[in-house]
Formats: sequence, structure tokens, C-alpha cells
Amino acid sequence: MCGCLTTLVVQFKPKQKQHFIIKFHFFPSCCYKDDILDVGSQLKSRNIHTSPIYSNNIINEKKRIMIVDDERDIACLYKLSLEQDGFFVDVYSDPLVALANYKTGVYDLLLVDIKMPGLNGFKLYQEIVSRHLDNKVKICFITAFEEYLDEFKELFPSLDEVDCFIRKPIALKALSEKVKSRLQQ
Amino acid sequence: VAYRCGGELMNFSVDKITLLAIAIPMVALLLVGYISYQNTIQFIQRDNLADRINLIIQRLEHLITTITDAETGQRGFIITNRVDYLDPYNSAIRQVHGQLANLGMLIANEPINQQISLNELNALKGLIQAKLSELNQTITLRQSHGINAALPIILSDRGKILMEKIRSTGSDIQNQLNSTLSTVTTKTQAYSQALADTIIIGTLLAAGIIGVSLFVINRGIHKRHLTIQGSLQSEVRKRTEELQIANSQLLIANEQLKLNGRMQQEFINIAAHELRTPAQSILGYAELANTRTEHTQKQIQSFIEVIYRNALRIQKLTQDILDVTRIESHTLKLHKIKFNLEEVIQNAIEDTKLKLVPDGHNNVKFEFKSSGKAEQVSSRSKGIFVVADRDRITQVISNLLDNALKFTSEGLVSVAISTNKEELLVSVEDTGSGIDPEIFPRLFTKFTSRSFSGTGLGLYISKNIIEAHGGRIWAQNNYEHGKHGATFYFTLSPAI
Repeated sequence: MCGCLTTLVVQFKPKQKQHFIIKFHFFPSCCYKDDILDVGSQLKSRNIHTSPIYSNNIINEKKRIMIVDDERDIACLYKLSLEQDGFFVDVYSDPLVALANYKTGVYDLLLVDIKMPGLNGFKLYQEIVSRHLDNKVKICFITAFEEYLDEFKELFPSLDEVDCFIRKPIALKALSEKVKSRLQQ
Repeated sequence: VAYRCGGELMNFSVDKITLLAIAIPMVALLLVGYISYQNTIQFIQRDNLADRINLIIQRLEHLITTITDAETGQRGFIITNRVDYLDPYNSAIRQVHGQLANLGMLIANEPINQQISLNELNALKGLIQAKLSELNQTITLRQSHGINAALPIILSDRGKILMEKIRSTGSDIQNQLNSTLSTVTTKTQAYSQALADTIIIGTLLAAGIIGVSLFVINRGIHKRHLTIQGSLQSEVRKRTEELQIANSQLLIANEQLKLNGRMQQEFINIAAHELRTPAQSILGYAELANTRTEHTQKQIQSFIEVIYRNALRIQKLTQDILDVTRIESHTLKLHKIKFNLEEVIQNAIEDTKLKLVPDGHNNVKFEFKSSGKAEQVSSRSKGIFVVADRDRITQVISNLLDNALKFTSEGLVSVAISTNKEELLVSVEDTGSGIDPEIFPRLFTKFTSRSFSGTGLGLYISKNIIEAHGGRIWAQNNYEHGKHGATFYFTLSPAI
């Protein structure tokens, strides 16, 4: 199994200050950062402390994308496809967990589904911009729905609809081009 | 209708009062007229009687005067022996019998004091006869024997005594007549007074009654006016209420139309989402498998699994939309067979369990309890048997299980069958978040969904399937019984 690769740095405390790198391979249903955080919190409860992989320098050179979508198959598809195109991708299924774990300046692009339980994509982006003061991160809303344009125009008058919307279904090649184009803007 | 009937009754009542108000014064006036008439008749009669008594008195006085004239003539003749002095006497002789007869007739015709007057009159007649006889005797003696022959008779005072008696008797009769006249006059005055009183009192009474009647009529009219006004106001209020109801119904209908419009728009949105989402997975993983050469066989297999799962999702959506179309065009057909409901439920639970891993519902347990006594339902084999469309019942159970799973992240989904002689009751109970009160009233209508994946058609289809089998389907939140989650129930008839 390969493709959806998640790497955790595991530190055993208190006496053994030795770092182990354990690679978890989850595919395709468990490639969510939420699930990894769940594993992390479960390990922490057993006194095993973990930290995300993006301290890695190689990964730092990559453009970082955060995908938030409760549709697992699609999120994993985009993650697989974009990772193969050379992007670093984190995927969250729960927008509230994504917001809680968001760190300013880490991501270059957000791919956010609009209709999600708990917090919709528009509000998530608004919260990220207002709470984390991250104005540099770019946004693309993903949707399979028909009618969100009016709300989008009302909430984000300065954003361009063509640049900021990805409509499902989209060909993976088109997705890659769209992401690259958005990152270059 | 009630108003009209009430109005007629009220009209009748008012008309009756009006009729009485007119009739009573009329009767009173007629009575006054009658009494006045009677009094007038009495007055006239008494007045005539007085006139007649006066006439009798006049005639009596005239008779006395005639006798007095006869005596005067007698005395003049005796003194002078001149014949011309006898004229009053002769005239009296000629008239006195007629006068007496006339007087007798006048008195005889009057009923009042008739007997007394006639007796007195007879006495008077005798006296007059005697007086005339004495006059005749003295005149005859004077003519034949000279004054000296007549003087002894004259000096005997017989004539004087007779004359005094005549005057006295005449006076008695006159007194009697005057007394009668006085009585008659008093009565006439009384009748006259009574007439005046009757007229005044009757008029005042009639005026009073008319006044009261007018007051009553006026009050009746006022009441009627108030009643009509009240009825009109009531009618206006009723119409206004009807208009308000109609208006609110229109508003509700309008809201319903808007809601229907919104629901249809929402359905289009949901349908678009439900079609595009699996389409994205199918197209994306197929593209991934085709264009990226470095995938292993296992990766390709996992892609195919995803594609298959999403193809099933599209198939489910297609099936749901077709089912709704069949339901709405009344072409939903049931292929009923006899089957074991327990087995169908068990299979549906197993199929639902397969969905646990991909959706991450690893903490949900399933439980199946059957309290039915199989022997009672079917003596041939174990199980609870029904005659129904097996696929459709499976569809309903799977739908209820899917729903339970959607809203239960951890806990228990419990399916149970209970039976009685008349029906089977199937319940699907979960320990999830329960049914949103906002959508509860329209839970079994189309496009009702609180799920982030789903068209909102499942319960609508389930309801129609169960009702097509003659059963019922309903739901309740378990918090009504102090527990979490919701329970869905449906009934079916047991196989005989």
C-alpha cells in the first residue's frame, strides 16, 4: 500500500529522549489529518508524544495545501492527485478540527468544500482570515451544489468567482492546473 | 340561516308589539267613543225630559192662569153685568178641558212621578170642575136673578177656597215637577260632566296609551335597529374572520408554495450534489488509474472499490428518484410473496454493517430482538412470516438502518419485532442525535433531510411502501422517554 503517506515523529518520554520516525500508511479512508490527530491523541494518552511531519525541510519547499471536505473518497482522491503533482497536502474532514489546528503561514492554498457539518466552507474561510489574520492564504471552494454563488458574492465581494470555485466533478489534470494557476496569482 | 331565523322571530315580536300598540289605543278610543255616545244619549234624553217637564209646568201655569182669567171674567160680569166681561170665562170654558186633557196626556207620558202627578192632576181636575161649576152657578144666578142672588155664593168664600185649592194643588204639582226637573237637570249635568270627564279621561288615556305605544314601537324599532346593527356587525365580524381565515390560508398556501419551491430547488441542489459527488470519485479514480502508471495492482483494486461504491451510490439515487416517480404516478407495484421477516432484517443489518468501516462508524453496534412467537405465526417453520414485497420491505429496513447509522456516531442501533394477532410491529431504535424538531413534522415528506449526504427521499419512499402494504410508519424521539436517539416504527400484517 502506498500513496497516502502520513509520517509522524514519535517521542518517548520521560527518560528515553530518542526520536523514532514511524511511517503510517493509511489508504484511502484514513488519510485525514483528523484521524492522524486522533492517533496522536491516543498515543499521547499513553505518554507517547508526536509532532507533524511538516518540520521536514524538503516538505517546507513544497507548496502546502489544506483540503477540508467531509467526502472521504474525494478528499483522498484530491490528496493523492495533488501529492503526485508535488504538493504537500493535509486533509481534514471536520471543519472545526481544521480551524482548531490551523496555523498561520503554514498553508499556501485552502481547498474547502462548502457544505459540511458543523461549519460551512465560507464561514471556515472567514474564521481563518479573521481569527488567524491569514490574508496570504489563497482559497478555492469546492462544491457539487448548484446555488452558492449569491452567498459567495455577498460574503466575498473582492474574490473572483472563476478563480475561487472548483466544481465537482473536475478532471484531476484540470484540478492540478487550477491549483497551480491559483497559487501563481 | 340562524341569523335569518332570529331576525324573523325578532321581526314577528316587534310587529306584534306594534300591532298591540296601535290596537290598544284604538280600543281605548272606541271605548271612550262608546261611553261618550251613551252619555250623550242619556244627556239628550234627560235634556228632552227637562224640556217636557218645563212644558208641563208651562201648561199647568197656563191652566191656572186660564182658571184665574175665568174667575176674573166672572167677577167682572157679576159686578158690571156686562157680557163682554165673560169673554175670559167663556174662553176658559172652551180651553180648560183641552188643557186638562193635554196636561193629563203629557204627565201620563212621563215615567217620573207619574202616579203622584196623575193623582194630583185628577184632584186638580175635580177642583177645576168644582170651580167652573161655582163660576157657572154665580154667572147663571147673576144673569137670572141679579147680583143679590149671586152674592151669597160669592160671599160664602167657596169660590175663593176652591181657587186657593186649585192654586195649591197646581203649586204642588209644579213643585213635584220642579223637583223632578231638578233631579233631571242634576242627572243631565252629571251626564254632561261624565261625558266631559269621559272625553277628557278617555282622550288623556288614549293619548297616554298612544304615547306608551309610540314609546314601545320606538323602542321596538330601536331594538330592531340594534338587533339588525348587531347582526350586521356580527355578520361583518364573521365575514372579516372568514376573510382573515381565507387570507391566512392563502398565506399558508403561498408559504407552502414557496416552501415547495424551495424544497424543489433544494432537491435539485441535493440531487446535483448526490450525482456529482460519486461522479467525481468514479471519474477521478478512473483517471488516476489510467493516467498514473506507477500504481500497484492493490492500489488499482482500491480505486476500483471506490469506483464501485460510488457507482452503487448513483444507482441508489437513481432508484430513489424512479421510486418517487412511481409513487407519484401511482404505478408502484408490489410483488408479494411469503417470506421470513426476521431473515430479511438480519440480512439488512449485515449489509448495513458493511458500511461501517468506510464511513468511520466503528463504534456503532447492532442488535436484533424478536419477541414474536414464531409457532403462532407459522406452524411449518421457525420465523416470523409476512406476505409482502420482499425487496421493498428490505428497502425500507435498509433505509431506516442507514438513517440510524447516519445520525449515530457511537452507540447502539437496535431492531425489534413484536407481534400480536393483528399486526407485526418493527422498530429501529438508535442512540444517536435524534430527529431535529424543525423537520419532525415533515419527516416523511419529500426532500426532508438533515443529513449532509442524502436526497431526503428515503423516508418518503418508505412511508409509501409501508402504506401500500396497508401498514403504518411513524417516528419518535427517545428523549420523550428519557433516552438518546430516535425510534422508527412500522407495522405489517402477519401471514395467515
